[in-house]
Order: sequence, then C-alpha cells, then structure tokens
Amino acid sequence: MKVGRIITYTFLILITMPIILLYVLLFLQSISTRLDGIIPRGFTLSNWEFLSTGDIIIPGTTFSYYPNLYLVLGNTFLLAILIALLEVVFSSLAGYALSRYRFRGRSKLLTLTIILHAFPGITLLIALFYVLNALKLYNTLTGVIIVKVALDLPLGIWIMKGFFDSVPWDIEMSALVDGTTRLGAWWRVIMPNVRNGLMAVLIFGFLSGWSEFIYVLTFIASQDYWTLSMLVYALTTGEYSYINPGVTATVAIIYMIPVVIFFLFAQKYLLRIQIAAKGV
Amino acid sequence: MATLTTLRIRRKVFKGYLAVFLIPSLTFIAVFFLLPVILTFLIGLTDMDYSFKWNWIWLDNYIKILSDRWAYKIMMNTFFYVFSTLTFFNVGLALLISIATTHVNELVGSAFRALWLLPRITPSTVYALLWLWAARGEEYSLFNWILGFFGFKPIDWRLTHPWLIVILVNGFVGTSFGMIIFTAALKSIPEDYIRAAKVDGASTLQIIRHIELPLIKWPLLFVTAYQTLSLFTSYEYILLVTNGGPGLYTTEVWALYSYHLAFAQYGGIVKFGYGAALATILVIIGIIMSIIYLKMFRFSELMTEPKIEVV
Amino acid sequence: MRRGQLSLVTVILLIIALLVGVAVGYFAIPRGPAEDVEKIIQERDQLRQKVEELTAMLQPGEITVKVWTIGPDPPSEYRLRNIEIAADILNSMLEKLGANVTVKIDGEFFVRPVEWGEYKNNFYLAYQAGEAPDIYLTGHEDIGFLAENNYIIPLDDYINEYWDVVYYDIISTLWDAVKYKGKIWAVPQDTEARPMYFRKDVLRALGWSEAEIEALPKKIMSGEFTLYDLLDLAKQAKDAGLVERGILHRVKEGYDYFQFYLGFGGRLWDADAGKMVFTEDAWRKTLQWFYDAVYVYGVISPNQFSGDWDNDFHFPFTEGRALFLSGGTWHKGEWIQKGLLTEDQFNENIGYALHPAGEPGKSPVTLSHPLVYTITKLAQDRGVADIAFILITLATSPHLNSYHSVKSAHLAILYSQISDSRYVQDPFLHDVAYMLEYTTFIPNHPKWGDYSRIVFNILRAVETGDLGPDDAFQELKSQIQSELGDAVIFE
Repeated sequence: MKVGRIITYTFLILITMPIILLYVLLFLQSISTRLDGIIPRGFTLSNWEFLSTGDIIIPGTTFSYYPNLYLVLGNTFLLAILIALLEVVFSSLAGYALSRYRFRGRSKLLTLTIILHAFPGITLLIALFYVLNALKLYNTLTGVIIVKVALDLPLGIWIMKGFFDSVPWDIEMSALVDGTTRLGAWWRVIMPNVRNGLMAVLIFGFLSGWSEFIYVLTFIASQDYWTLSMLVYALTTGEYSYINPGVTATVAIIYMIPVVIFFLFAQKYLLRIQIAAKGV
Repeated sequence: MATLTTLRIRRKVFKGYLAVFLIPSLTFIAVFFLLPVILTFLIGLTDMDYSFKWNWIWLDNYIKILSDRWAYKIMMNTFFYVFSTLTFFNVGLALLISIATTHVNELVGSAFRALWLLPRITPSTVYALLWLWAARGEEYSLFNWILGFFGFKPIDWRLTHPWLIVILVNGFVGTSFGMIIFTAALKSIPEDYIRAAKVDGASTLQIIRHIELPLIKWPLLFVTAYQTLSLFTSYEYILLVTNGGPGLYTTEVWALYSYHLAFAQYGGIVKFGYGAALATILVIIGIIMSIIYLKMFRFSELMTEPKIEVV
Repeated sequence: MRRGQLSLVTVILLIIALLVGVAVGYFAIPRGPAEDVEKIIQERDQLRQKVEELTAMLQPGEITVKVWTIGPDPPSEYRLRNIEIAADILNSMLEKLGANVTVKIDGEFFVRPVEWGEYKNNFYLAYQAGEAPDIYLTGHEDIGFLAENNYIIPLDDYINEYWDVVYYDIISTLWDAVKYKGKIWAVPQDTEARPMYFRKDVLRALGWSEAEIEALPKKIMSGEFTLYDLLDLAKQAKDAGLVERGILHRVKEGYDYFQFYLGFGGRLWDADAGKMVFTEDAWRKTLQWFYDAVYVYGVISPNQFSGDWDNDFHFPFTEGRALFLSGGTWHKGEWIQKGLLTEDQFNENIGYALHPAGEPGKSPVTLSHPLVYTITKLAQDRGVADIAFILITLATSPHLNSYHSVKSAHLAILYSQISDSRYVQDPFLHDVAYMLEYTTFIPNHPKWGDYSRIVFNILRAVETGDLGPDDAFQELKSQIQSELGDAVIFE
C-alpha cells in the first residue's frame, strides 16, 4: 500500500514537473540577467522599466516599433469583456428558450447546436474572412468579437440549457401563476438560480477572448488594434528579434495576471464542468 | 390567482417572447457559422485570390489535391499527429492522471489537476513561448540543462525532434479535457462498490481494472471521439512552435496547410480557392463526426421535453 | 478630385518651380545685363502673385494621408520618417503661404513580426475593407499584380510633370523595376545589393595573407572563384575546426537564393516576351549545388531553411562561427544598430563580394530588390493622390534618402546622392556600389509569387533530403509547368 502511494506521488510529481518548471522559467526570465536552466545568474529589474511608459524600444533605435503596451492591454480587455458579456446574454436567452419553450423545430435546433458545438470553427477562417470583409468588419475589434461570440455560442447555449434544466419548473410556474410575464419570470426567478452557469459562461468567454490569437492574427491589420497575443507573438519571432527575452517575459507575465486570478478563484468551477471546453 | 384558463390564453402572448430569446443567437450563428460553412464550400470551387473574383473552376482544386504529392505526406502527418497526441496524452495520460489523483488525498489530487489546467487557460502565444525557450539549442536552455546532468549533449529540440516537441506542446494542453471528464466519472462511482471490493480483499490495481475502468467506458469513448476531431482541425500551437517545419512539411498538418496557402504567402500570392478546398475536406469530416457523436452518445436523451409547457 | 486639392497641387508645383527658378536664377545664370535681371524679378513677382491667388482659393482644413511602410528591418525607419518630414516641409510651406490647409500623416512602419507575406495580406484585406493606405510601400515585383487588379494607379503623368524637380535624377536602370506593361506604377524608394559576406579572420586563421584576402572579391568578380570553390573553402574552414558552419543563407522564403541560379547562367525574365524564364540547365545545376553543399561538402545545415534569424543567421556569422553569409547590404545596418558588431569590427573582420559564378565562364551576380512607393486607387478615389505624390516627391531628395541609405545600408536611388556628403562618407556603401553593374531584378510579373514559392519549397526539400537533386528538378519543372503554364518560357 505504502509503495503504491509512493509510486503514485512520484509519477504525479515527475509528469507535472515540466508545467511547473515552464512557469517558473517565465518568472525568472523576467528578473534575471541570464539563466542557466532555472538558476538565475544576476538579478535585474530593468526588464520592468518599460512599464513606466509602455513603449518597447529596440536598443539602438528611435521608433517604438511595437504599439504601446497599455493600448494593447486596453484592447485585450475590451475584446475579452465584450465577448464574455455578449456570450452570457445571448446564451442565457437562447438556453432558456431551449430549456423551457416547446416550439416547432426545437429538437432540430438542439441537434444543430450540438453539431456546431463539436464543429471546429477554425476551419472556416477563409469564409469568415470573406464575410467580415463583405460586412466591412475586417480590421476591427468588432469583427473579431462577433466571430468569437458566434463560434463560442453553441457551447454557451449548452451550458446554460443544462443549468436551466436543473431549475425546478414549479418555481417558475408559481411566478407565472402570480401574473409575472415570461420575460419577468426569466429575469427575476430563473436567472438568480443559474448564477453558477452564468459565471461559467462568463469565465469561458473572458478567457477565450483574452487568449484569442488566430482570429486577431488573421482579421486585424492595424497595430492599433493588436491584442496581447499579437504583441507576445511579435516579440517572440522575427528577423530582427533583438528584444531582450526578459522584456518579452515581462509582457507575458502581465498577460498571465488575469488568467492566474481567474485560475485561483475559478478552477473549482472549471474542474466541475461536465461538458468541458473544446479545444485541442 | 390566475385560473388555468387565463394562463392558457396568456401562453399565446408569451410565445411572442420566444423571438426575443432566440433571435440574437440565431442571427449570429446563421451569419458567422452556417453561412461560412456554405461559403467555404463555394470558394473551394474557385481559384479566388486577392483579386476576389469568383472564377469558377469547379472541381479543379480537388483534382489538384489528389495529384499533390505533398498532400499525401501532409495527410499522413495529420494522422500521426492526431494518433500520437491522442494516445499518449489526451486519453492515455489523462486517464493515468485522473486515476492517480483520485487515489491520493483529495486536496493534493485536486491541486495536481488544477496545475494541469494551467496550460489550457494560458494564452497560446505565451504557452508556445515557454516551450520555445525551454527547447532551445543552447546548453543553458531548460531541457539541455536538465539532460546535461545525465551527460547528454545540448541539441536544438525543435530542429532535431520536431514531432516530439509538437506532440508534447499539444499534449500538455490536451490532457486536461479528458482528465476532467474521467475524474468526474471516477468520482461518480458509488463508494459502496469500492468498499465492497476492498472487503473482499481486492488490491487497488484490481479495483482499477475490474471496477473503475469498465465503468468509465463511455467517457473514454466520448473523449477519444471528441478529441480526435479537435486535433484534426487544430494547428495553432504547431503554427507557433514549428510552423510546419523544419524541412519541407515535416510537421505540417492538413489544417495548417490550408492556413498557409490562404493567409501566409511570402509573395502575397494567396490561394483562397485551394485553401478553401482543403478546408472543405475538414469541414466535411467535422460534420460527419459531429453527427456520429450525436448518434453514438445519445445526445438526444438530453432533449427532454420542457416541463413548463405541460400545463 | 476636389477643386481645392487641384489648386493645392498647382500651388505646390508653383512653389517648387519658384524655388528651382530662383535658385537657378541665382546660381546658374551669370550676372547679365540689367534688363535680364529686371525680367527675372518681374517673372518672380508674377509667380508670387499667382501663388497667392491660388492659395486664397484653397479650402481650409486638414488632409490626412495614410501611409504604410515596412522594414522589416528597424533601421529602415526612414521609409516612413522621410514621408513625415516631407509633410512637415509641405506644411511649413503652406503655413508661410497663409493657406489654411495642413497635411497629416497617418503612418505605419511595420517591423517584425510582420513578414512580407503578412504585410501584403494586411494590405489586400484592408483594401477590401476600404482601410488601405494612400501611399503603399512594397517590393517592386508586386506592381504587376497590383496594377493588373486595379489596386494602384499609373504615375506617368505625375512623373512627367515633376520630372525636372527630382525624377531626372533617379538612377535610370531603376525605372525598369517600376514599369509594367509600358507604364510607370511606382517611385523607387531604395535599392540594395546582396553581397556574399565572408569572415576575414577565419581566412587569416586558414593561413591567407592580407593580400590574398583583399583579392578574393576581385577573384569572384572576374569569375575565377566559383560556387564550387566556395564550397571547397567553406569545407576547409569547417574541417580545420575554425567554424561550426560553412555557409549561411536566409532562413525563410525570399529571393536571395535565386542568385545561385543566376550564377549558373539562369535567366528569370524575358523582357521582350514579357514572360518569366525557366533555364533548365541552370536549375539542374543549382539544385545539384545545394544538394552537394548539404550532403557532399556538409557546409550548409539541412535545416537552414527552418532556422531562426538570430541563431541561424545573424549570430553565427557576427560571432565568427560561420565563414560565409549570403545576405544583403542592409544586414550590415542591422548588425551595427543591434550592436552585434561595431564599425571597426566590421571593417576588420568582414569582407564582401558578389555571389560567385556557378562555374568557370559564367558571370558573378547579385540581386536587387528596389522597394517602391505606390499610390493606391483608394487615394485617387479619396482625392488625395496628388498630395500623396507631392509627399513622395519631397521625400525623394538626395538629402533625405541618404539618411535612409546610410542608416539602413541600402544603396542610392539618385545620381546626386552618390555625391551627398553623408553617403560619400560611408565606406561600405562606396565599396559595394560596383555591384549594381552585376545586378538583376526579379520579374514584375503577377505570377512571380507562385514561381518563388515553388522554388522555395523544392530547394527546402533538397536541403532537408526530402528530394534528391534529379527528383527535385523533375518536380520543380512539373510544378512550374502546371501552375504557371504560359507565363514561363522554358529554355
């Protein structure tokens, strides 16, 4: 029994070690002049100095070649928050209808939602580009937001439908019998009972918007609309990548802050969700 | 208190709200999900480029795919990538971790599971950056530094073992999905079963093999099927880590090939048509597999009639 | 075109003419009899009056001109900055004239991570959304596609009109690079040569005397030192343990490696037929050379085309861990600016020559890829094409362009730049100037991008060992045939 436990812990620690080391590496990279593996050689705060202005300057040049960090940060927040809010509103409306209404085409709609939920939206990039272009939404944050919301919606609708299903219908019944309108019942009686579901959709939406890379890369042309994913990508690759890795690490750490906060507070929700997020 | 009759009358009026509930989602899904599916198919029948002309060449793109000697290699790459990542990580490791973490102290177990969630919620560009640093060729980079203690010479992992890195990068993200599902399934096994087995003198290994594994057969099948499709169409991390290289299409997968042709041409000569034809194949695979899930996992059972309408 | 702007153009034209006129009058014409002077003064006053009348007609306001430029090398920042300076000059002229018009530049200078491909993508997509720039800086080879699909406007009328202001001064061969179907579509912004850099310190360690080292570029120029000699020498240095790598070339798709094909006598463009060319013999030898370089001599890494710019291109060379580097003049600018090398270190340890001929009897080569300012159709639709052209014209001055040339190590586009003090004082630019006599441009053909992409894929496959040289040749030929068909002459 004891041996079994030791083997189990050793296995867990060994297999989880790469994850821990990778994040330790990120942190040390930003405060070290040089790293040997994960042993810092020399402490420095110089990688954090650019935060005073947000301008990332390549040594020896005069232009700031990258958009200002705070502008990019603002864009990323805007994108993530709007995506999260729209997803919450739309999916709780549609999820409620699918859970509580009987109407013609309901089961077809449900089937469609399931199929779309499993369907990888990323394969539609070329066509989405064409649609955004036709709607004059190319190179706008609005375009990216709309595409993200549309592609994430089926998941959100499913999560919300599940939560609505678990609310006993007699609560709502008695409200309706008391003369409340359907919309009123939805808002005052049902919604407070699905707070966890709303929270889950909000978190999924926010994280999915916050991290979005491919759509920003493909649908945004102007550096003014960059999000942090583009900035980190920009700082990582390149013909002229003479940006100190410490500065890149600092930007990445800033990018990670909301993620870590959500992670600390919300991982219990994430671990509990049965229809988990799709992805790789 | 309203009578049953007035409620019935009012129901007609309530139906009016249905549109309010459904229209926002339906519009979004129709314009940005269903329409693009059709457009992908249509663009695949043209040779569209940046002149944005609908020049119909019908099935020429597909004939070209069949005679494209690299398409075959890329398809094989895709199978290899999906199969390896799935076997070793998304299902294999996910299962091992969920069993291991449910057989240790609950607090420690969930801490480990939480750590495994971290890669998934880390923005892809940051996560890829971490691997790029760790796998560099210098002796002080993380992997070489660790292996240095065992006498290994420093190598550039991305160039010498591109597939290993691609699979690790994707695998460490992909594991958490199966892990969550399996853990939930394992925890839902009634305590009595396990207690009874223990009383009968079964070892932990026997319990796992004879009680736990048979009971999570369906979640296992679900994760396998679901993740197969996800992996088939994913390319974000490959794009960020090897971008299909090194060498000619060494780690290029089908979805990335489509992306490269349509959006990443050095000379700006893009192939929307050809790229869309490649994507159409993925779209068709996607639709077929989604329908299979629907049948196989009896999602229809989730579609119980709404109770509130039964007045 | 709005009337206000039409008159603005006239005003500017007059101002420039005035300045030129006064200058010419002052310096060039010897002090003549009194009546000549009277005449000049009279003409000048008439001109002034005309300018004032026209200025009064201008509609007040701010005109925004959107400009997109790209490095991707950061030292090339003057591609945008010169346009901004041009706007400042224009604004101060307008202010002096009392015109209530200002020109504002909404400019972007794309550097890494933007690859050329992404930059171009962005342009085409932005164009569709009506967000495209008015002035678009791009590689000259794109004008075929841009012109063919109505993205840009021909500039012949403008250039004729302003010929005497600056365009007479443009080095005449550069006009070839901006012509497509008989029209001029762009104004050259810079050009460059692509030298084969070599490490003098490594050659010294191999026992070469200073005289021998100095003679290497000349031996290459005369065709005596060929591409296979290059492989031999790189192998010697590698076998002697002096370097880790023999020859470095670019790590991503590009045009540099076409120089090896040109060195084997290949042709890319047939001006008479207006078609691209596929010289079979030269391609066969080029593919064989790349194969030999990787698998017989072992001096090019099989993964060179998948490397990273710093660790597989810049650093090994600037740190003396590689003997040869097939680069561009602008790389010198990058090394200095990044602090990888000082000017002294560069002069002491780095030599540069043409790309050697493929075999005896062939000629050494280099490749130039002038970047050009184009004016988009969108600018014309918005009525700012004239202003855009004036800005380009003002930016195309020997003084401003020399800022760019010297800082980014690009070559002059104007004859008068060759005597500009900044330009003259740069020994590197002076030394590589001769290379332009050996240069080739890539074709201005709408399908050039396909040619380039196919070649890149095949070359990469040869280096990684996915294709043998013979197989590669067959594959290259059949792909070019099937994708480009009539656009290419096979010889």
